[in-house]
Amino acid sequence: MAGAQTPSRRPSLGMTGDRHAVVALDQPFDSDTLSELRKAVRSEATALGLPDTRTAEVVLAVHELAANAVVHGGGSGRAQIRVVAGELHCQVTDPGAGSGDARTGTSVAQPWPFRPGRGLWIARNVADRFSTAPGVSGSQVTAVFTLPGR
Amino acid sequence: MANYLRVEAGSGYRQCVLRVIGELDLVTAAEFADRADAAVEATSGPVIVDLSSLTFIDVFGARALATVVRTLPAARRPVIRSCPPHVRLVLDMLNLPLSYLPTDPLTGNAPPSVTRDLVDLVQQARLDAGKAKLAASWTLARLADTGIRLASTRERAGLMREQGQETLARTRSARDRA
Repeated sequence: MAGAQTPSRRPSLGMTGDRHAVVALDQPFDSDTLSELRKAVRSEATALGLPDTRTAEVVLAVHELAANAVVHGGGSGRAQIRVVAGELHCQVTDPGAGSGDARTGTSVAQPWPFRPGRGLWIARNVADRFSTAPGVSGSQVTAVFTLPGR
Repeated sequence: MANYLRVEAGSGYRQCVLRVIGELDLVTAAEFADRADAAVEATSGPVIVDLSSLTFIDVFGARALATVVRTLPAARRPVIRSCPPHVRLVLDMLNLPLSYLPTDPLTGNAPPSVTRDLVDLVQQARLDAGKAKLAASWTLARLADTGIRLASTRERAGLMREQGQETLARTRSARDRA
């Protein structure tokens, strides 16, 4: 993973097809780098002028989407945050289920009754909009937050 | 192992205070459960879970927290204090059956606990009073002992004086006769 960890944090023109998108964050993650991902998302959201409570919700949403990829997906993935027309598009892509990270999947088992997918539900709850799509090589989930008006 | 979570256990007066510091997520949840269980087992009395320094919690962390709290015997009355708003948001969304101490709606911190301070003060005063009582009864006992010894010394002194006077009288009469 070490070679892939070169997050481009400086806003640049997006390569994702949205003509006016600015990529604010593009970072790979796995179970060992979730904390770093949260830190990066927090600083980006703060830099974009989101209030603390909203920042916490963005961090929570991105983390839960990433954690979902780590536990139920391929054990790793990629988080992208783009600024599109006054909105924050937080997109998490995972390379696909099947190659699951068994280490993480089992070590977090706890007796408290808990349905899988709660993380996604949480992200859906805090976001203004939410969409899931089968991506090119895995699944792709996007949580959208409206940025404060100018 | 991730090192962004710490659990500090302090035992106050007949209570166990668990301070959860850092980020409680899917990576640190198991570690948290182990540390919390160990800390709870090593102490007695009501358990207070202090979340004031918890900077992040996710669904796995919330589940671990709920498990630790819910598996405690009712006698230990586990309660959560100083739950920051971003943590409360997650716990509330998951509808976890946790009890909370009153929280300041603006800061999310527990209000300065006058009651707790008073309880501590009273306990301390009670302890000090107990110590003072012990010291006083010891002093009293010594005093009584000294009184007894004083009386016996005085008695002996009186006896010796009588003996002295007797000897003096005998010496004088012997001298007079001589």
